Amino acid sequence: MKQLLRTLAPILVVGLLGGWMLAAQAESLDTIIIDKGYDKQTKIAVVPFLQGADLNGAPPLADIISADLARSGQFAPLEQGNMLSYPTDRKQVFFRDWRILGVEYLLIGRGRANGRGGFTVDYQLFDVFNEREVVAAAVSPSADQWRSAAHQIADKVYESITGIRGAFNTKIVYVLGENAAKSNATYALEIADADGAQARNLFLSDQPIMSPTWAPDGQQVAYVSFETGRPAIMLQNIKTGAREQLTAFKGINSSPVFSPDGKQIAMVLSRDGNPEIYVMSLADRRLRRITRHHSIDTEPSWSPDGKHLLFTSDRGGKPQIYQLDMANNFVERLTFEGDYNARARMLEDGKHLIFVHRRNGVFHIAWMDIERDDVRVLTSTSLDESPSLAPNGSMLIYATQSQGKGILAVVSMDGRVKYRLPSSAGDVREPAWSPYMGDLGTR
Amino acid sequence: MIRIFNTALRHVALGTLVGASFSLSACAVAAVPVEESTGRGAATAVQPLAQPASGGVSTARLSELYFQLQTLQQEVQDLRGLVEEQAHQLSRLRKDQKSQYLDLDRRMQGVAGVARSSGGATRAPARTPTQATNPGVGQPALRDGELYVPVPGSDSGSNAGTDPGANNPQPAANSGAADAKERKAYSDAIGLMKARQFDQSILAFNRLVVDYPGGSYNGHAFYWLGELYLAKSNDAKARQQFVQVIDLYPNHAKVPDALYKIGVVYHRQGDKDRALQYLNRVRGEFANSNAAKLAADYAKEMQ
Repeated sequence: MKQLLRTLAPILVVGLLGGWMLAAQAESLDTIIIDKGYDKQTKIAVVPFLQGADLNGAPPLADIISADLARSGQFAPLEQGNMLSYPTDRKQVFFRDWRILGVEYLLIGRGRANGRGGFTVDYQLFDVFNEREVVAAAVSPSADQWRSAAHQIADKVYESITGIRGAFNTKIVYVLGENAAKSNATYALEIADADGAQARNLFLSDQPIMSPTWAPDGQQVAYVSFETGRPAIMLQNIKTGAREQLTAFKGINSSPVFSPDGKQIAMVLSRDGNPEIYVMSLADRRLRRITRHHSIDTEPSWSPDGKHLLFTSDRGGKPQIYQLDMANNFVERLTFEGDYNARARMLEDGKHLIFVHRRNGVFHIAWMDIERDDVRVLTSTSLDESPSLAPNGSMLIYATQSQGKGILAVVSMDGRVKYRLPSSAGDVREPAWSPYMGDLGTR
Repeated sequence: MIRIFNTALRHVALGTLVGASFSLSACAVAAVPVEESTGRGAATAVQPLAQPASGGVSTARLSELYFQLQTLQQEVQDLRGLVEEQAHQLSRLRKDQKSQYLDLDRRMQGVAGVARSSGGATRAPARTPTQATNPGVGQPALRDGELYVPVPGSDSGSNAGTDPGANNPQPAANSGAADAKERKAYSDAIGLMKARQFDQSILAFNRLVVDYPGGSYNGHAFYWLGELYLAKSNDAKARQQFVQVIDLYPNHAKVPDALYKIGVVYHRQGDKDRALQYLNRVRGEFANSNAAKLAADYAKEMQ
């Protein structure tokens, strides 16, 4: 069951369907499932949705939904070729047929144009064993929200069956670098669906772009750009593309991260001579210096309650993760295993961390139970960096190297499910997983 | 390989360079108001040293002082790291000591309780109610004439209920070197299973059972062998192992689970009647156990 290498048909309908997706498609990321992990996967049949003649060009919703569920590692979608029938309506469903195939859940649906320029997709999820309807719902996407609609249906299915909110209808941003360190180098800040599809460019520069990070409302990203010849922290709206420069101090301007309420940004500045953590209030742009130490303090991140800042510091001789209480500036060291622990992110429960951990000279992404001091290495790749959590905390995306190229990879929080998102275009680095993007409405 | 710290340092260098040539624009940007928070660590002033240079201190002397300062800073950093680690170890040790004491206390109470209930005369290996209702984890109980204290696992797995590490048997307090070896063999086998090396794990469990006939881990070993064969879809062998548990260790904490699994295996093999027979047996004999709940659900699904 290990190393089960299987390429899920990278749904390549780009180009053919101009109207179906945003124009100016960049090179999307492919998905390759490396390790599905779980022995007991829920068997689900996602029957091809009824898509009328006016929807002929649209990517099949069922394919996108199946691929989403398969990537979670918790589902084993039935191959469409093995289905005995393709019901699109409750009346056409014969549960006995599906029981014979060992299917536990069945998803059917229908998509149609709603006459107002948009579409309506309604769908039903059945529990085959109990011959019971679990979910019946509808979603109304516009043409460019077609894939989001599929992801949203996958979210709903995932949540109904596992009890955990799905994170398929989310985005990732990342930095795509081409011809790095050459005179014709380009750096692109890209945004794509969480499955790597529909990549598009947010910002293009011939100077490096670093550390993209999401605002909690999912509307803005902050990042470091060297476009002026030196690092500056920029803020950009992902819908309008409007950009704004937040800082450009002498020296380091790096690692911006939004506070959970979105009102502040923690960052690293060396304006006073040494890299220290600062917090900027977005309302009045006032800066507050948080750390004060002659060693390097960097890579801040917030605890989910916004009351603590985690950061990496070598004040103890080696890079380790520290936690600072914003109320009284009390600093506490959190990591003790190994001589390199950095770039921590805290899970929503406030009790666990993920971070970059060096073990036997190799950089991995690790998970830690703070209370029990229990460290587990999640990744089997090397040179792993920049872990970023999915909003539901079930998986994390990180950057790693494969055949000398930077690629993105995803691993579940127990290390069992792994997949990769390589890019054919260039080196991809520094991914950041978006918060929940909000559901599409029903009309 | 570009690592954060290297990058950071490179940026400092870059920043200083660029900063020098663009000092005008830097001033303009630096007009943003800054509030200083009251930090705990005292500020180390490097800059003031530069001022008195004109006041008579030689450059050589100055650079020597600077070198000393750097050495001191590094030294303090290393010492700080050491203190942090030792403070951490100390608090760990205190926690461990406390939990060891609580564990000992529990065992003592268990012994006292058993002595009372059996009149202090015979140590009959009777099945205690706690053992039946709470398989695997919980109160101390007598098994094979020995005190058996299951310790809730220190494993922090998200699936604590089914994690094999969560209910490892702990041998009696008077364990010698042989017991330690046996325990190691058992935990190695468990480790292999957790690492999903099922074949090696099967070998290891089989070796354990052969090497330590009558050993205190054998009940568990047979149970996990059953689970391993199930994972490999070898139903017949799986059933054999589960039957070993209930035949050889009728008072074992894993009996309800083994009964349930036998039911499952029979169902997988298509023998519905036998399956129900075993599932009902768990529900009847160990009504309050987790396995009974699972059996009830499974029986319902089978119908």
